[in-house]
Amino acid sequence: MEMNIEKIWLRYFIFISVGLIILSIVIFSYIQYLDTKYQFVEDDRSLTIDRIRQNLDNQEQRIHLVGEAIRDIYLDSEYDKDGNNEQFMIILKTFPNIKNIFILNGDQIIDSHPNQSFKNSSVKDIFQTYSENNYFNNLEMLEFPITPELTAVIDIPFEYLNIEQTIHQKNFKLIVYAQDKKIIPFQLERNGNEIYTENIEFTDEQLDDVIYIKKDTTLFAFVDHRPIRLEYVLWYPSLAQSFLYFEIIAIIVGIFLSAIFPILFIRAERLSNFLQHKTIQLQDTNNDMKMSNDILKQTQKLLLKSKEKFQNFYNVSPYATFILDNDKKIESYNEKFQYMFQYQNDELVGHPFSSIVSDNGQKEAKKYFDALENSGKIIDQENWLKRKDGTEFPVLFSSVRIQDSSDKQNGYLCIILDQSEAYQIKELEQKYNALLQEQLATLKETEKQKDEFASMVSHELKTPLFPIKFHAKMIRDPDFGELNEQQKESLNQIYFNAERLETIIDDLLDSQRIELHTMKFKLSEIHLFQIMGEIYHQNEIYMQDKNILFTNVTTDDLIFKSDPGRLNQVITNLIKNSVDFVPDIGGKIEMGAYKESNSVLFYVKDNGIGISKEEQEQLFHKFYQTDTSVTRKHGGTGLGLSICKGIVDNLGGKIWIESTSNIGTTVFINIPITK
Amino acid sequence: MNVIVIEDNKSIRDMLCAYINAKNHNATCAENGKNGLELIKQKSFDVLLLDLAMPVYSGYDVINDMIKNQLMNKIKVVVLTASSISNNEEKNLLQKGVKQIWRKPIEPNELISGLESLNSV
Repeated sequence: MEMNIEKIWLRYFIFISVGLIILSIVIFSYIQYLDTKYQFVEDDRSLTIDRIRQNLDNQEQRIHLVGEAIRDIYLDSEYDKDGNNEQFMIILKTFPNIKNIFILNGDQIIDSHPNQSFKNSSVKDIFQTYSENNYFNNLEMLEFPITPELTAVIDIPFEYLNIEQTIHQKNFKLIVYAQDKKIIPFQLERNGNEIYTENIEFTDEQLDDVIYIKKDTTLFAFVDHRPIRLEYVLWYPSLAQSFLYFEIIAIIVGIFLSAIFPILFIRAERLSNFLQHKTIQLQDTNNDMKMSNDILKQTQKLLLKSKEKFQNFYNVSPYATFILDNDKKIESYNEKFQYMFQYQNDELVGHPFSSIVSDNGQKEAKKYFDALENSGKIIDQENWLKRKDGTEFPVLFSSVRIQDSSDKQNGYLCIILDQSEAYQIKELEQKYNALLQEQLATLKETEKQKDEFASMVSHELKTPLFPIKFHAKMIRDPDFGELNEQQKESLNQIYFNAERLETIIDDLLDSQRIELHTMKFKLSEIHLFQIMGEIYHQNEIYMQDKNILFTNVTTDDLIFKSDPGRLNQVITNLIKNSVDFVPDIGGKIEMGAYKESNSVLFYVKDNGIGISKEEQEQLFHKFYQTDTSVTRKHGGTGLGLSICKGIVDNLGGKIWIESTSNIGTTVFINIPITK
Repeated sequence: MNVIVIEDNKSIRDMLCAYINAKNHNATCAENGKNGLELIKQKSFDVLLLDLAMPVYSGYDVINDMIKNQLMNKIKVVVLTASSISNNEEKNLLQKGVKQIWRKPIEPNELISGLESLNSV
């Protein structure tokens, strides 16, 4: 921005300076022109003066002759003063150019020729007349002493003294009037045209033999002490020169200024900008200071307020607040503190902090204060403090170093939170937790005992069955001795019932295991066709004397992972159930399995009496039995299907029934294929 | 065939021994593992019929001791147990040298045929 201003101003000042220079040149030229117009070349002047002088010398000679002649006339006794004297006439004839001859006695004209009218006039009168009639333009009056009292004045026309001078290529006519004792102004003619007579003031200066004196509007010159009337416009010769010097100086000054001005101006501009800027800065600083002052005042007010607030807070705080000095002696404390520690208003002032600390807590308190020294604050440190009556209670202790503005330490501000309640609650919590742990342990133990009991029971219950069954079979062996039919039958019954007992026990145990999620599964790879064949074979024996058409229609074969034993158990259970429901004659039971998408689908189908929808719901529940009269035939515990469901669920499969009354029932099992 | 039966239950022990003897084999009974082991060291048997669940000194202990004493090669061990044992336990026993694992209760004829076929191998 500044650069632009500089340029603009530079341009202005260059313009102005150039203008001044041009103006100066113009003025100079005009002056030169005037100078040349009116210049009076010294040489010319001196030349003029010489010529004037020469002419005047010639003139003097003539006057001398005339004067001598006039003197001779007067000294002649024959001179007749009154009337025309012939001798005067002779002179006038000899010198036709002489207009008048005056004989003066002092100022009085005693005689005049040819014009007698001037007799008895004073010279002043003549002069006046001459002035009025402009005679002086053409006449010169010369003086010549005749006798000591008398002077002759001779009027001679100016033609004799006309000097034409060519001055400086201009034609000037210098008209010089010579007048005895009179000073007559210059008149300058140029090319026949009268030029103004200028009032030019000259100082008294001697220029060769010429002295120029200005009197009013008339310029007089004295040449050889004889005054001559010069009408001439003198142009002081060195004026033009002086003016020339002046011009040169003006141009130089102009250039200098034009150069300097912009710079100065720009500097000034910059300076003023700078000053403005500084002024603004100063103002800003001033404002800032004012603002700071205001803020300071406000801050002080706030500080005061906050102090008040603090005081209030301190007094009514629900927390026990107190202040320690630098030596950790108690300076002051609030009401809550008094209440908490049971001390009166001033009792503790000056006492050390340790006096409210419990015996066991002294060490901790020291630690806290060390930490406080280092970090400047401690928060919620646990400790036990002591009341006036000696009772101790748990607290949370917080403290902060008080420092004033000069970082000088001014003690500590401390806050105490009574933790008695919290402590009690903690203790209770701990008690309950302990109790809980105990009970949990007891529970676990009980569980363990139950498990152990269960396995013990299973083991103990089943152990006797082994000998019972074994003996029952063993006796029937011919190597053990021969028996009759009744005895054999009796043993059969023993065996049969032992088996039944075993089944019941197994069911109960299985059911319990399923309930307690303690049933163990032995997973292995199963070949479908093989296992179905095995199950069929095992149950076939069972069917032999029952008039039931029992078939295994499994054709698919695949390998899948599951518990073969338990699968066998489930399917066998289903088959045994079907046996209960098929008609006595023409009963059919079909078992099969095939792959269906990602699972193996097992089924046991019979042509029994069917199961109603309502009963289907209940079937898989524990202890549910349909038509107790029917099942009592085979004596079931009602656990079978629930066990089946439990096993199938644990193998990741599903079991369900499709049944139609009096047509038949099919139980499906879906086992997902896993490898 | 000489069979040694280690079984802590008297009823079962007597029963087994009686039946094996009745079937024209020679059965010796031991009521605990320690005694049984002693008998094995002293006499030569073809088959050991071993119960697993026994107090103080179980069937497992017997097996481990037999391994220590390198007796597994001298006699064919059959485990007869009422306990349900896991696949891993079964594998473990078989790896240790047990020939067969039978479950109680077992049928008499199964018992005899099993022992005889084992011995004939």
